[in-house]
Amino acid sequence: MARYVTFTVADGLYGVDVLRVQEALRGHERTRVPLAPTGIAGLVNLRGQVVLTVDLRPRLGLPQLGEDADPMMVVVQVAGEPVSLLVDEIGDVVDVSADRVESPPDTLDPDLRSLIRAACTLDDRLLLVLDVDEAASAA
Amino acid sequence: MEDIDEIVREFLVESHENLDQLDRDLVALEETPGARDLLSSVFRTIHTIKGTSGFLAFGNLERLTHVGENLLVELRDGKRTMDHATTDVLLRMVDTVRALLAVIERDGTEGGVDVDGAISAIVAVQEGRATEVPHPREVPAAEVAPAPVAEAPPAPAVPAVIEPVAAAEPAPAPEAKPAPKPKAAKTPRAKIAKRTSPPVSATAEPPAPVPAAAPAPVPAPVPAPVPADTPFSVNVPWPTAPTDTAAPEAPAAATDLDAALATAAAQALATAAAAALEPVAEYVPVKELSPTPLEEVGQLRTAAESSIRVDVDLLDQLMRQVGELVLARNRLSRLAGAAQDADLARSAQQINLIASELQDGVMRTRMQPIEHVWSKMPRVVRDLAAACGREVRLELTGGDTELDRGLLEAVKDPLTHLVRNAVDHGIESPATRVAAGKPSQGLLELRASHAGGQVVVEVRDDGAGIDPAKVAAKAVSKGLRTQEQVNGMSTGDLLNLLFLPGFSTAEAVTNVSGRGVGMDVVRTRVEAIGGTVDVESTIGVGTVWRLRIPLTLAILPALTVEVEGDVYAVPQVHVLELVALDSARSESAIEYVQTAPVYRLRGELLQLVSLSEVLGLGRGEALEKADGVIVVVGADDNRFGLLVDRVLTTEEIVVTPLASQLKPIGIYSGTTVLGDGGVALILDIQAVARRTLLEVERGQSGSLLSAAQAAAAEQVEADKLLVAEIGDDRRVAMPLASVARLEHVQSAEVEMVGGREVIQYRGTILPLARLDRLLGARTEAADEMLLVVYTRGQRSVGLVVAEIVDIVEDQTDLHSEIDDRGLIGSTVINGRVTELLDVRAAVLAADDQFYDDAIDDEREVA
Repeated sequence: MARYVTFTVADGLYGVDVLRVQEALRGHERTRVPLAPTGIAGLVNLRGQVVLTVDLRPRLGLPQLGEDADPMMVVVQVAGEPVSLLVDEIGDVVDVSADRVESPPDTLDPDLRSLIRAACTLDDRLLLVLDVDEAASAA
Repeated sequence: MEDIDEIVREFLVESHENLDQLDRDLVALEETPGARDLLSSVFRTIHTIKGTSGFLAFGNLERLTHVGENLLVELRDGKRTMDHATTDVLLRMVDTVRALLAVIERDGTEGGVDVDGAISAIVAVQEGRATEVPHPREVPAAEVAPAPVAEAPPAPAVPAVIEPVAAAEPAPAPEAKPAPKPKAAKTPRAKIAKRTSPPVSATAEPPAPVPAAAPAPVPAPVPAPVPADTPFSVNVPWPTAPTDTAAPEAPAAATDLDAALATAAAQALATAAAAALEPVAEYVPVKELSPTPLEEVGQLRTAAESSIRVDVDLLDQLMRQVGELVLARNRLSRLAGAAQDADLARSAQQINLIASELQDGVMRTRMQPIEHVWSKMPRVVRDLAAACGREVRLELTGGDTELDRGLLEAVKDPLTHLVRNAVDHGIESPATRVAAGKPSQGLLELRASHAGGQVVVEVRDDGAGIDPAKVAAKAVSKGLRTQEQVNGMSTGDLLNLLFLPGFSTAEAVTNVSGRGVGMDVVRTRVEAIGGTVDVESTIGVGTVWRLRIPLTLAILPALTVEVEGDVYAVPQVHVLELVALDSARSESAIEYVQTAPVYRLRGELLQLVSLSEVLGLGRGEALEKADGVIVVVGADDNRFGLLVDRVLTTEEIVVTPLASQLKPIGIYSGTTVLGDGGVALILDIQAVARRTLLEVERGQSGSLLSAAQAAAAEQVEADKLLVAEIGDDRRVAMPLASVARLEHVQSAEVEMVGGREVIQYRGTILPLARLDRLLGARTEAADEMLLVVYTRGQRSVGLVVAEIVDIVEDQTDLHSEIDDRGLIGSTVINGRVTELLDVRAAVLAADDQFYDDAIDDEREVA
């Protein structure tokens, strides 16, 4: 049994291990970081702490988020530091039984292979489980 | 096991501190051999280490410190005086102890460190004494020998009592307990005594033999062989030997015991043996020695109890939290200011005050006196002076000046390097010094003080000083600067060449300094922590190296600037000045040398770097049209202008480290939360300089820029004119750029050299040209003359005028060409026709070789 925090980016449903998630909240005003890699969406002030935000779209092969977009944030812990992932909508926390967790489909874009850890067949749709460290690296 | 580790760790921390003290004391002791307090301090330190190492079963360490202690006992009892050899072996002991501690710290054992060398060296020094005065010592020693034997019998009596226990209960565990216990009771006997000060002398000695008897199942045979073999070393226990003896002695129990226990027991008995012997051999001195150090230790203890050890991580955490509190306070102050509510304002003010004090207090907890770094210096200086054949007296002033421990750690190496450098290169050999009329002993001073929110640390020697001419020659020969460049440099600039990478003035590479890692490393290190370093030197008098270090790293004063709507923080330490750009005024506009934008700032070309371009935000619009502010910043040797849209304010910002994903960008040094809650990136100005300025230099425009830079002094301020009256109501104007100074002199001081008028001026001869005579005007002789001094390279001339009228902007469109001797035209200034002086001709009239030196033939006074 695995438990994931789910969210949508574009039309896809994604999930991250619930134990890695610190909190989920509405977007904050971001300070852009010039010269940063494309996946870096800026810095936010999270209750006095400066937190890096990562836009998952470039990594997922989607066009970058507009500057005026108002996404939600899923704050995950990476190496002891919080990193905020920008997502469109935050979904439920879902429990997935082990027999429904499968390795990602072979048809998956090779670029995404390191990012997608598993694919879970839910009742109505497919949930792609992200590797949190990989997602937060914004490489 | 955890507890043991904890104890060992504390022992290591404490011992390291003690060793630094020891180094200092020993060197000081060498200077003042009779100082009892120093001796007591040294003795106490060694004694503590010995005691604890015995307790923790570090046999080698104990053996070594014990031998050292013996030597110290003799010193303290006045049986020998401190001399060079003694200091050497004692310092060697300290080094070996340090090496042992390092090994213990690494893997918890003391393997791999050779202690026998140090031990035999100490014993050799000690026996050197013995051969000098053998007789009075030999007699008691001989008497000692049988004494322990006599003492021995009571010991076996005790095992009789204990052995049944061992026999009845063969399990090793209960055996183990009695063994360390008496040890604990005995070894720290000083500690027990400390806590109950009054009965010190009572508890110190008589009880000693009692616990000594406790672990006695084995000691009986040990005292006997020891004194027999080495009558002079009665105080030296041989833990390894007893171990061997111990094992067969009690095979039933000993084989069951684990190795550690065996050593512990062996040590216990060794110490017991020593303790048992001591009163016999040195009874009187022991009685004498005990009260003094113990009382002092008692005082030490009370002092120690007033402070506690705190984990640095905890302090760091506190510091961070206080940082956040400061941010919250800033926000609150801002809100309160806007709300115009008196109560709120008062509360905010109070919070403000408390937060400031709290911040101050927490910062202080991380502060350590610079003494911690200095404590190593006497040793460094002593060793180095000996190695280089120098006589050096070290003076330390302001050792209680405190700074953040992180910074302290960071300046340790640079400071040590400067000190080594001063001893090796600064201070001359005694013979040279005497020949120069100085005392043979050089003086090296370390001074620390607070000044303007910074800590200033000076390394000052009274040595030979640094010859700027040699520095210049060296820089040229190494290809770091061209002859032209050094010609125009001031002494200060020349000395700063020392900080260039690849510069080292040492004639020969010694193992002390001059290994290529020179002052540039010092500067890099100091600047890495936001500090600066500079040097002043007078030939024959000495050199001063001055470090300026910020008090703390976590909070830094910064200038916040805005570019393209974003806010960035520039550390204040880099900011030299601010220049507002006004695109409406053409004179202040930005110009280009090839593609590199430059700005004329008081006669110098300032290379401009547009921050929005550096950050890749630029929309490619021409800079000339920009309204904005030039933040003139200095980093390394570079001074450049950072062009920003707006300057917001200066504020104290709390630095939060950069997320690891952003570090590779290399332009930011951290982030901070601003008073309004926004996040700002902190610019790493040095990185900006490296990135942008290097690009320019690599490109074609680099050489052009430096050429332009060279010409700048005269070109740039050519648009400013100095207007002077020369008599007959005539006014001449001359470019201000090449005017070095204006001077009043007495006419009486004018002397004649070969038909020319000259004057003695600042130690040189200054040729004069009288503009009135040159231009055909007539003036009456006055007592005082006004000189306009022109300087080019090493040469100066003085143009004599009657009066300085004004400094005006050149209005080139009003020029009219007239071809008269000494004039290049005329213009209208303030409604008056003013002649434009041909400065070149005027200067040549005073000194016809003025332009002969090839500084730059292209350069001409316009």
